Amino acid sequence: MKNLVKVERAKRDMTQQVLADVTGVSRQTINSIEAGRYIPSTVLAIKISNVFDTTVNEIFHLEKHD
Amino acid sequence: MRSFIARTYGGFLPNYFKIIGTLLSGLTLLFITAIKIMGVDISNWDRILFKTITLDCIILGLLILVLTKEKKEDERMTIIRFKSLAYTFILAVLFVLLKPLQDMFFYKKIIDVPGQVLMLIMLVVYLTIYLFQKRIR
Repeated sequence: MKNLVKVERAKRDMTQQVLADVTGVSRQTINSIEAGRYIPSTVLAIKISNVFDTTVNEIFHLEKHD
Repeated sequence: MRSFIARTYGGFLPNYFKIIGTLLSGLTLLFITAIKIMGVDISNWDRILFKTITLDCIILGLLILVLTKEKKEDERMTIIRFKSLAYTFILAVLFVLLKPLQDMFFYKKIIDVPGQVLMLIMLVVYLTIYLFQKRIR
């Protein structure tokens, strides 16, 4: 699964720590999501999308092998 | 809204218990090592009681480490905990299955593994896998 969390974060000049604090997870979790090592739960994906004022589908994309 | 699993299995003890667990296991190990190095005569001691107490102290210290919360417990930490537990269980079963074969090959007889030693191995394996997964870049 691909995601645009890093791109959206950079657009808003937001650090990983700030995003982590707002969504209630650790900075390492945000880092893992951006690196594609961790797929967030539905709740966390919605929280992240809400922070960026967009939809889950615009941030997270399925890949062919998913 | 954290899930029930994230709320319940995210660690039980406050983060500062890590120091307590580390000190308990570490100091016990240091004590055993010091006795060996200094060549203290322990022939008059109750060896089984000594071994039980020291192993139990190390096991308790490691258990405290396992049960301690991270500074920030979230869903990823819960998944890491469950994965570590699963791998540890599988490795423990393989250990129990393969050890008799190893004993027959090297010692020509099967040596029993005390429960304490198996628990110690499982705790060490769990913590190793857990720390490794936490730190994967």
